[in-house]
Amino acid sequence: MAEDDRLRSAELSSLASGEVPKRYARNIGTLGVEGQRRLLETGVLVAGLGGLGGFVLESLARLGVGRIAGVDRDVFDETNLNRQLLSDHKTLGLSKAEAARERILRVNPAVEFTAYSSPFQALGPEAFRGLSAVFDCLDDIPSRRELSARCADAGVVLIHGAIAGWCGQVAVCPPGKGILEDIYAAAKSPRGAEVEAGNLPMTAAVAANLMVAAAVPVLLGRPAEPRLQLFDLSDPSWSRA
Amino acid sequence: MTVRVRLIGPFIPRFGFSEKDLEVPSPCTAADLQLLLGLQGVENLMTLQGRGLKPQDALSDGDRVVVAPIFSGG
Repeated sequence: MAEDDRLRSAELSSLASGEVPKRYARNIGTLGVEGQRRLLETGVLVAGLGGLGGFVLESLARLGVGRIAGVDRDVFDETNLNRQLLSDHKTLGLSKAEAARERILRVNPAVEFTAYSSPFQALGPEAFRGLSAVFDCLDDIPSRRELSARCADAGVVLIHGAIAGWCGQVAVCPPGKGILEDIYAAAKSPRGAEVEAGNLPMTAAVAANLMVAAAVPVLLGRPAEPRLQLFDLSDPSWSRA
Repeated sequence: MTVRVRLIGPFIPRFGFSEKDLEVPSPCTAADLQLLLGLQGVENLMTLQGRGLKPQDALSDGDRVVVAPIFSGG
C-alpha cells in the first residue's frame, strides 16, 4: 500500500471511531466528523496549476480532500512569481505539476496526488471518472469552454474561477446547464481584461478560495446549485456584486 | 421601468458610475440595456441574480444587473 493510502486509511479509521486526527482539529467545528470523512473519500481534478490552481490546491490539501489530480503543461517562469503560490526561486523552470506534487507531500502526505504534466485535453475519460468536481483554473477562454464540455460529458460539476486586475468571478456549473457558456457568450477574444490589467496575487487568492468555498458543499454531497459571483476588490462594497 | 445597474472594475471609470438606477423602456432585454449603456462592441458579461444574461433575456422592473468586462486570467 502506498504511503498516502496508508495515512489516509489510518485517518479514516480514526474518524470512524470518533477520534479526530490533530491536523483536522480546526476543520471539525465547521465540517463535522462526517464531513471530514466525506472530504477524505472524495476526488477532484484541478485544471491549471498557476495563480488560481496553486491556491485552490493548497486549500483542498489542508481541508483534507483525499484524492487530488492536478494538470498543467507549463513550467514556472519569472512572470509567475508575483502570484503563483507554487512558484518561487527554487521552482523556476520546474514543471508546475511536479511542483504541485512536492507541495502536497509537504502539506498533507495523506492526499493521493496524481500529477499530469500535459494539457488537460490529453487526459482520457478515465481521468474524469469518479470525480466530485473539476476546478477550472485555466487562463484562456477556448480551453475553459473545452473543459466545460468535458465535464458535461463526464457528468461532473465544474467550479470556475477567473481574474483580471482587482476583479474576478467564481461560478458553480452543474453539468450540462450551460453556465460557463453564458459567462463567455459575448467573448470573441481568447482572453479577457487580464491582457491589460494583469493578475494580482490577492485577487488570485480570493478567487481561488471562493472557488473552494463554493465547492465544499458539493464535495460534501449536496446538490450543486448554479451560481455566479463577481467581485471587485477595489470597491469596498464588492461583496454585494 | 427602473433597472439598477452595477458596474465592475474598469467599467466604473469608463462609464463614470459604479451603481445607479436607470429608467429603461418596457419591455427591455439585456441587449437593449447594453445599447442604452453604450456597450455595443464592448465584450462584457451581464448577470442577474447570479446567472449570466443572454441578449434576448427580458428584464423586469426593479432588477439589479451587474455588468463586468470579460475575465479569464488564472
